[in-house]
Amino acid sequence: MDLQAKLQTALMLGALTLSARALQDPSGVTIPPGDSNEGFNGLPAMRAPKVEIPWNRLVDMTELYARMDRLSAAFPGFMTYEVIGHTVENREMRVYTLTAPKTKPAAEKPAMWIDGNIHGNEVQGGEVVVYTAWYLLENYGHNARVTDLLDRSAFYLLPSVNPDGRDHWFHSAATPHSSRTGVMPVDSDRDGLFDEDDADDLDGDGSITSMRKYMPGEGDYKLDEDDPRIMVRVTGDEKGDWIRLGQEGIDNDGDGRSGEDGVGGYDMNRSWEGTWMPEHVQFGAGPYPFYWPETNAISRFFLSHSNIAAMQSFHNNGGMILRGPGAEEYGEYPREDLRAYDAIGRDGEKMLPFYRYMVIWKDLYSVFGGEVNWTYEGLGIISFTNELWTSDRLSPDNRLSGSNEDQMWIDDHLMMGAGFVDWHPYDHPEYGEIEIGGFRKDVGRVPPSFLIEEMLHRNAMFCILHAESMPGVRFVKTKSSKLAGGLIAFDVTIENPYLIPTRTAMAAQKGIGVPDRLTLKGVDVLAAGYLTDPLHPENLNLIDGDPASIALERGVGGKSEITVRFILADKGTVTLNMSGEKFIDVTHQADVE
Amino acid sequence: MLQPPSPLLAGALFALAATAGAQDARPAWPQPDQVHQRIETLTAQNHVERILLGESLQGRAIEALRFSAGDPASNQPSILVVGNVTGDRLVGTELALRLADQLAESNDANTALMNQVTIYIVPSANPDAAALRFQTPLFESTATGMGRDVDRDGLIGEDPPVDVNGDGMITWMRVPDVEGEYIADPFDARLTVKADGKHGERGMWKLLREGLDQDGDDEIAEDQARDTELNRNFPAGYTPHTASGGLYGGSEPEARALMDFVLMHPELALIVTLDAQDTLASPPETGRSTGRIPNGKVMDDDAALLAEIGRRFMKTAKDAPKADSLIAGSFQRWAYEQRGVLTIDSAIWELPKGAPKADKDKADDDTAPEAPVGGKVAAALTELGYVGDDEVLEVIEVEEIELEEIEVDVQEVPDTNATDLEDVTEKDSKPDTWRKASEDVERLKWVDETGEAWRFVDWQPFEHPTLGPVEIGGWAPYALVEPRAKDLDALTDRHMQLLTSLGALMPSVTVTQFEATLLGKNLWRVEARLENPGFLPVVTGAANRARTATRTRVVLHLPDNAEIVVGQAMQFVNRLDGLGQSGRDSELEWLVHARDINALRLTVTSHNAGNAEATITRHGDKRQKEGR
Repeated sequence: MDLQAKLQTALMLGALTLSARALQDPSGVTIPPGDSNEGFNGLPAMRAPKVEIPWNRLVDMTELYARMDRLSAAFPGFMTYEVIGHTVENREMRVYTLTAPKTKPAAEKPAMWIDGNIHGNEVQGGEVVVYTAWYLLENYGHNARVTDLLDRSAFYLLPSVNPDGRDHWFHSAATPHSSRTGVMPVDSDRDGLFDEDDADDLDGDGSITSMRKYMPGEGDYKLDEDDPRIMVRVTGDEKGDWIRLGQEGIDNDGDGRSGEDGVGGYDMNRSWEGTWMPEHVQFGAGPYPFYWPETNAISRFFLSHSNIAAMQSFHNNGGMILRGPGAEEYGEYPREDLRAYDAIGRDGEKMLPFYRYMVIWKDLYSVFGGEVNWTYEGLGIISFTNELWTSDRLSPDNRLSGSNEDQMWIDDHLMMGAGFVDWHPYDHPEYGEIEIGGFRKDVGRVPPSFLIEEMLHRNAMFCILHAESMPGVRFVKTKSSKLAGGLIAFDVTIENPYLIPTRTAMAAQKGIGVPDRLTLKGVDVLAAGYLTDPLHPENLNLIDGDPASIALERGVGGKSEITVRFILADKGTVTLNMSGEKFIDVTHQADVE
Repeated sequence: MLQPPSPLLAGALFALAATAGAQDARPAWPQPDQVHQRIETLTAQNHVERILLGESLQGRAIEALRFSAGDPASNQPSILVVGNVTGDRLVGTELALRLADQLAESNDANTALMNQVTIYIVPSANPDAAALRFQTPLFESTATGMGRDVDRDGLIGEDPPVDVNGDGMITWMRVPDVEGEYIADPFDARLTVKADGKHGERGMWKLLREGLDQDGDDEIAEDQARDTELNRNFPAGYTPHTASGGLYGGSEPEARALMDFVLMHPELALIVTLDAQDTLASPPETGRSTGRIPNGKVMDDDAALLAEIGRRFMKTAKDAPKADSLIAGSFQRWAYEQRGVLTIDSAIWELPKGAPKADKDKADDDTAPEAPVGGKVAAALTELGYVGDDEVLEVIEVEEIELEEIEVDVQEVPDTNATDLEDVTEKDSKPDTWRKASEDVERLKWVDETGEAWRFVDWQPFEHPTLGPVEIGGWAPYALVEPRAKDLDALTDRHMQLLTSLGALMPSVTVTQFEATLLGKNLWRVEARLENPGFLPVVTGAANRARTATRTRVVLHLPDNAEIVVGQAMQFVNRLDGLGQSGRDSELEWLVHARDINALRLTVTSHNAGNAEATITRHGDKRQKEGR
């Protein structure tokens, strides 16, 4: 067959395959044929995914895992999970491994770790993890980039770092901020009793809101003239008629305080090694690094999966793409790695409206023992934390501000008033006649249902951008030349066309993990070195140890190449192999003449 | 990767068998399974229990013995005694087991002690390291935990030290080398010192660990199989990414076992380590940290207590070794800084410096006059069982003591070869005045005088497979840290005395007043006064800073017909100093409306100083109170 005919056949076969796929679309809807229109990629017209998931809700652990399991079932072979540990209340900690089954197994590919919801109340991170899996699965085999990504890399997905906290937030009375902790009992007020005085849902409406009391002429608050639901602090000599009594609750342990020792009382995002500091320096740290069973399980997973080359953690409020250091004391990260951080972070700002790419200690606050700090400072993995929700999205053109009045206006006009529990009387055992009211737990830190999907999609795309930056290597050039006395110089050039180095500068500087290794077999190797100046090959930077098996501590940088010169005793056929923790090993045969 | 055994090892086995007879004066240290057996045997006693703390990396049990006569619910204070945290300190295990033997005896002294305090003893916190003491060839290292790729070639443990000359020990090699930094010590040519270029000296040897270059990288014995030191692995002042520190703070299972034990025992008032750090002979530095991060110093409040305990110990233990304390990454530092538990450290024994002076110390003690006692605290201490003392506690200041480096760092071990020895002694019988004799010179004097010849291996020429002619010798493994068999009784006695005296220092809460005064119309003013008549505080300075101590809970119990008019029924006392500090009492007050005030009761619950209870007395009545 001549070339023309071959091409013709290939095109016809392609068209046939594509139209066959279109006919088999599970929704039964016929969609126009053609590669760019396959899958469920973000284009909307008359499309349906294989697995329909309602992306306008937030769900508890059972449903979160159920969604992942539906995806696993619908795309056989692509996604499996392992239980890496159990929470304090014995919920499963499931890590889902997602990769294309027809290429190498996940452990031999670079992998991206994505988690969410380390703070129990910051639930929507879990949904981003599921959405990312869904998007990748729906588009594998249709979108060339997704296909390539899953062929050459893997994802480790932990929908929730804190399943106990998540379920407590959904199923117990909560505020937007409560249930941040895990649920291991802690004696927060050091009275010898554990978790004995939590907040109380006095009116039984499922949310912990606020208490106020009418005290004519003795208060420090008054009611807003236009909207009596809003409380305004009095100023100057003004007398108010109301006082605030804090969050809904009673003094359960008779110590004169209310809600001072609730469930748990720690912060799992302060328990990671690296810059870990004890409790009195960093609230929530626990008595030693990785103390909580959830963080301990994750640390063991990371330490036994050296192929993790990218890391993303999802939190819920502020519109930020955060990187470390968490504490000024740490100093700055190495410049080589900041190139990758900055490139991803700045593209992220463009993909994620209202998000800012920030350094934790400098632009947010100082914090010791953060998860992404450990994964980079301890393990050398480029790691980000995104703060998902930003209230700017309620009024993107800034017609409304974040004032109490505007919040109430938005709730009244976009949620038909559903988010606010109007003040209602309650007979309190300690304070007598009071009123209870305020915004419900799912107002303020999570998006309203109509804004969830956009947040999920944009952040999933950010993860994919990061995953596409994971390293890979290829032999791009070999060259042999003659040296004195029949010796042969054999120059091998290896390229990493991706943004993230095969060995981050952090890993190289701190001696984390195993160095990359370049081996040459087939001919006796007498010496080897880095060829940094091709015009002056005599200035070879010699490498110690066995020259036929070289440990490359610094690997190959992001979007760059290295050339190694082997000095060989003889000519012949050689087999080159480049292996490393964070990329797929490559082998190349060449004839040295 | 673990390297297969070198063919040289086979020879080493024979060599060891031949030399074993020469080591009779050395104690038979307990092997891990023997420790376990001795613990089992002791557990047969009535007041002794065995507790499993955890498992070592290699699966050995880490066990504690509990000695108590008290009711577990009484919140009686406790002391934890730990041995062998540092890999080469098997003497700590032996001492701890001997203390346990004595505590297991049924006698009045033990009963009295256990009524004051519960004692936990962990004879060996680091059994994997202890097991290495019984391997051949003998190799002393404190790096006994998880391995690290020290030379960054992608392999772990591929070039460990080797008993090259087959004498059953891994010692040192001095290698003639133009780049060598070492010369013979002019004071004792068996030792080696660094040449001082400023004074015209030129080095002639490299001093290397006995080994080969098994991975062909031109480095000798640079990557052994084990690297983590347990007592550098605790997350206090921890530095990540070091070989000795381990994977992360608390990554070693032995570290977590000890930490979890401390966390489960809020009643711990003291930790006593029989190991490598010292607070007795060398009171730790004091000082506030400038920032929020603890700085490895003892807080002023606590330092005076440690200094006083140390001073008293030293009266009968004048030769006790000095050593640093609160070392970064150590159990002691974690327990003190982060849990607020005072740690008393004994470095037990070190190779003495200078020829032994027979019974001189004892004579000093006998003739020392007992000075009169002054002041409330000293009087209290006397009452608590201490022998009368010459100083008043309040005026004791913690001296800034410059700690001498007594690190048992064998890499500093000096050496010489025989021919150079002659050269040096002939030409240069008097060393230049700028150079001071090292402590090792004095140590060798002791070795020479006592006939403990095993401790120093004379340099022997050896044809090294890659280095050519070298000499092998130097300090023998464990020479600097292991006492003679005949020292053990005296060491046990002084530490038993320490432990017994500590029992008398425990904090305790008592109600010294619980009194009602009638104000009129059935309204009473109720006053309570708590005191800690012990020496130690209920909450140490460090516990207060670390916010780890449970507050002492005081509850006023009322009959049905009474009501509190002013005050909370439940109140908390944050700190209750003992006599070692301010000795201040704590006052609480209520106004109560009651027709029958006699039914009022007060209960006090503390985490580490017992509980107390009192029934009310009316102002003017005779005081009634009940102790814990």
